[in-house]
Amino acid sequence: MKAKSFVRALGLVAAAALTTTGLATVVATPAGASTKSTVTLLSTGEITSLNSGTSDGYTTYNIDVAYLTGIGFTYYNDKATLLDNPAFGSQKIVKKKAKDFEIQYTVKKGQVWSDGNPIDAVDLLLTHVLVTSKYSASAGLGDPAKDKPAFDSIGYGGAYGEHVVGLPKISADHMSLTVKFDQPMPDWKLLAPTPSPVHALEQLADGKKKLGTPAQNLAAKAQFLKDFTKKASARLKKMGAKWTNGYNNMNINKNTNPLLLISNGGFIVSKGTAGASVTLVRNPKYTSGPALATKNPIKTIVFKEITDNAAAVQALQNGDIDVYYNTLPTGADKSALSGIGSVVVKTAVSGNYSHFDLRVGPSNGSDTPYTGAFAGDSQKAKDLRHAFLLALPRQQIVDTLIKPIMSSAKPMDTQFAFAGSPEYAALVKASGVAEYSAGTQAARTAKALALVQKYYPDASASNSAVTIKLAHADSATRRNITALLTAEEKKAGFEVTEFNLPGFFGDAENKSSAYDATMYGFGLSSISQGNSVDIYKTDGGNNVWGWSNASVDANAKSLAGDYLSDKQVAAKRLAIDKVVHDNYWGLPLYQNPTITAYTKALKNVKPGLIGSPTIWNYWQWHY
Amino acid sequence: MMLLIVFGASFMAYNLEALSSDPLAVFAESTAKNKQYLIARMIRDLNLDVPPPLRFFMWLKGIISGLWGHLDLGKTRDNIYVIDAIGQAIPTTFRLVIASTILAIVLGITIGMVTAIRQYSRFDYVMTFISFLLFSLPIFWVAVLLKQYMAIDFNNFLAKPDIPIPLVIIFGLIAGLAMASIIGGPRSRFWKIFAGVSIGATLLLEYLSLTHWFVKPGLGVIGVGVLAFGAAAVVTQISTGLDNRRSLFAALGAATVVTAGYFPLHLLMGAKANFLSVLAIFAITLVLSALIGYLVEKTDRAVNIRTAVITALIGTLPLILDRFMSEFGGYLNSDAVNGRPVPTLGQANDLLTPQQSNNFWIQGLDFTMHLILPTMALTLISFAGYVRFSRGSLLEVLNMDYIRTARAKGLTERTVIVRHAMRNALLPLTTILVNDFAGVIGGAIITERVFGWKGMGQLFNQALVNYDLNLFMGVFVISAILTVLANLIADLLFGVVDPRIRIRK
Repeated sequence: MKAKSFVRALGLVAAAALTTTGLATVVATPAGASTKSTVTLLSTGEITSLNSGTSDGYTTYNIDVAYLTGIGFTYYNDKATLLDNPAFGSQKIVKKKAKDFEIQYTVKKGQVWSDGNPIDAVDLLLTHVLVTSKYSASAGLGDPAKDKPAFDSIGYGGAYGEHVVGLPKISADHMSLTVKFDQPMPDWKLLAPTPSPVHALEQLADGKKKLGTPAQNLAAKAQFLKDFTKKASARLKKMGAKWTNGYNNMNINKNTNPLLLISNGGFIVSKGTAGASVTLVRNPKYTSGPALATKNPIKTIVFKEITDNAAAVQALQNGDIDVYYNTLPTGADKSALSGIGSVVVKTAVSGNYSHFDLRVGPSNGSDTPYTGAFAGDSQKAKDLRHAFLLALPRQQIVDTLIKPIMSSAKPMDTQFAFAGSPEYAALVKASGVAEYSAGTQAARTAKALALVQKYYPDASASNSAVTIKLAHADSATRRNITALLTAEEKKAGFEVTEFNLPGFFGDAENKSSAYDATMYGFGLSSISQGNSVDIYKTDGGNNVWGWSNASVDANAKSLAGDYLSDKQVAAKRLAIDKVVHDNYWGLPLYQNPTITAYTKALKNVKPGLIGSPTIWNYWQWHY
Repeated sequence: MMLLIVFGASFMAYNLEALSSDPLAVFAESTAKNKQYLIARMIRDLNLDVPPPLRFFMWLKGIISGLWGHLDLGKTRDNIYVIDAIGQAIPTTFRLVIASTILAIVLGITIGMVTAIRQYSRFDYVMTFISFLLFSLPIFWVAVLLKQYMAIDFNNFLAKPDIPIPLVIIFGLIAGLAMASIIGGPRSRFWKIFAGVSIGATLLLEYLSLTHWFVKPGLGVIGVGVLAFGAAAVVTQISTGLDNRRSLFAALGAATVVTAGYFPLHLLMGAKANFLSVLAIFAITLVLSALIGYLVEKTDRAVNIRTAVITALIGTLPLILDRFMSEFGGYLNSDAVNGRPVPTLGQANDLLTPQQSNNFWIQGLDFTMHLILPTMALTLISFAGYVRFSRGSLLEVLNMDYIRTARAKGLTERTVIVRHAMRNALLPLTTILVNDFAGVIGGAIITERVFGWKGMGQLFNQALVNYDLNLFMGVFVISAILTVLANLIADLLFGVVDPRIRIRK
């Protein structure tokens, strides 16, 4: 009886289950196959401000948001070429004299800010305030060299601020601006002012909390032009306070002052949670840059702030983010990403590179003499430097650490240009760097040992003659590289020890005379004629190795301050590189690889090198 | 004395942090064209030209001016007031940790006590093994595993929600084994329970799989009823024993109230509901249940009311849960979620439409979905401690003379354990609990990082990495004060819960 009732119950349950299944299959409908219109981007750091121009807000994460909400005369493409943006306006040199170099910027008519207010050349004037110490000091806003200026911008102390003469002149129709400099500005395209909604800034300074009417906006803009020209200290100070501190609340919602969110880029910030995310929606009034894709376009962009790399990879796998990037990837990251079926993985080189440099004299700005093995320009010091560079296993370092990420990686041979450009090939061929790739590493190391044995006949792989202290920032990659090169240098008679590790590498250590060689990573934020000259100039800001050579100084000065043709630039760079290799100052190692991975459905993602490399062509993105 | 401790600790912390790294180091590898200006600016803004011990007093000035209402913890290096940053971080951390802390305490103490009662049983050995295993796992690894299996794979599963039959059977067997081990008893009873629960669980799971329940979950009036009556039975068993018919009636009455309220109470749960309407539902069921408890019998009123109220409190949860579940299908298929409801990180879905964000139930669902993984991770690694502690504590009490006396005078085992042993076993736990709650505010650095929550732990980490002294000190001082306060509260609380201490005073 009992067994029977149990079986009966079982039967009942089974019947019920079957019936419901039948129902369920009828009711269940597949999820709607609507096209996605949102992209969630990874931000590997916190987005802290809507203003990426302040000295605290100048971070790549803030710059990415600013890139979507603002566009000016130029932008970089994925080949690191600076492109003109004719949709916004044009710039040209109008005077090219030695003491009178003038550039004219013309804003294209018909563009408006996202609040509907027209864009004109008055909107360019704020840049002058933000980069010119002289203006800040003379307008009573504080001399940035001494005090905290009212506009606490990152831009003071650069070429524009140092060489600009007087105030920019605005044309009668307010559409163009002429700026005068006291010397030719070779990288003049990089100096282009960026547009800012100055009418909003004026209203913010007045404590307004709503978008102005067209008439109010026009009046505010006229007011700005007046304040700027007359250097109205009190008003400018108020604006400076708003500009510096007003954009830092990243909890953005419907209570946020809309004056803070005005944009002329393809998107407008619509929502934000501090420390978590920023959401942007399309700017319907956008005409200032390349047109947005029309087929299955992106309508919403979210930046999700994830500092942990493993977490970001899993977020990509789960679809919590659509686009992932990593500027310091490892081989493990590459294989983890390749294992995810639903994403495209792209590797590229970045604008950051590592290089190896040897000390010659005291650091720029330090009085302590350098007395190590590489000191001075005697034949012995030169031979030792030469030997050390010869035994540097660059190919092995690249093969071991970089190739697992990017199979096409090669050692880098000059700091003046990036591999792939025609200039790079020409430079490398003639500079003398080829010596460090010729033959096998074993042959080069044998040659190095022979050079060392000239001065230390007992030197051998088992008997190190010279101890070299190597300074570098502490990271896993750096330590791996050090391990590789220590082993190889030992074969040439060098004992490599790490300087001040484990520990930290601060400013004082940087300038001290207690190390013989450095392994640094430098990054380029722009491609310019004056690039890298600060590394080689005697008084260059980056020259901590005590390098000094008159012809290098002359060429560096000319590269930074003469308006040169491409041919002249190439010749001067070659001349510098030749001196570097004749004196055995150092060798570049490799360009850092980057990884970008994104969901397969997303089209037209083309990771670049500099600027906002992942999203530089966001207007082309679509599903 | 307390002030002196906080002062000394903060002086040392400030100097250690100031000396431990060099903010100017970032410029060693900088190629900025205006590098000189940037270095000068940093020295100026961070007062790097002032030696750290003196700089500490510049910071202290802001704290002291707090005495007359101008507390100034300074600004972070992101140019935000430290006080604002902390003000935002504390609620985040609290949200992240509160659920897991409570869950860990409840689960940990329950399992700990059961293992103590079933000392040296299979269940005891298994739980001891599991708790030591979890105790030794690093959180970041647990997080990675949880994300893989509970988020990525589970979301993939939802796309085609059919559980393969072998897996269903395995789950059923595991459930049977667990249940049979907990209930214990002679071998024949073990096998009976094992068979019953295994078959039941297998059938239930297969039913859920066949009906695609995981995509369209819900309890319905039947599910709510079953759970409410189950709660009634369990609560009565623990509080008075099932033999106490009056209590049982009160509890069953409460369960009936909840079940009968299924349809009328849904009126309160429209899209525009808010937290208050949920409170109102609880208020209604609790008051009605209390009334039933009151009316059941004149004697032992307090006990009956208590049983009924606790039953209603537990029984109403499925009612609310069912309402949340009813929104799940829509949530799952919305553009924002795109069929993958369990996120691996974050606090909220940024893509919810305004209409969705205004719906209390969808908001709540979204909130819960984002909490699931971190809560599981934190619970898993922290409940082991409670298991071990409560097990040991209860065992110690069970070996005391008065327990033998209680048994000798013929009290039921239930009364001995629940009335006499458990209460005393909980006493030493209060100290740990209070200190754990204070620790919660300090944040969970790794958990917050791997789950992308910006709470106190992340702030602390950011302060260390960025050489952000003001922020560092802000977090430090808040945590230090909370720790000192928690110790004070624990001492006071101990006097409240332990009559021996109260009376001695």
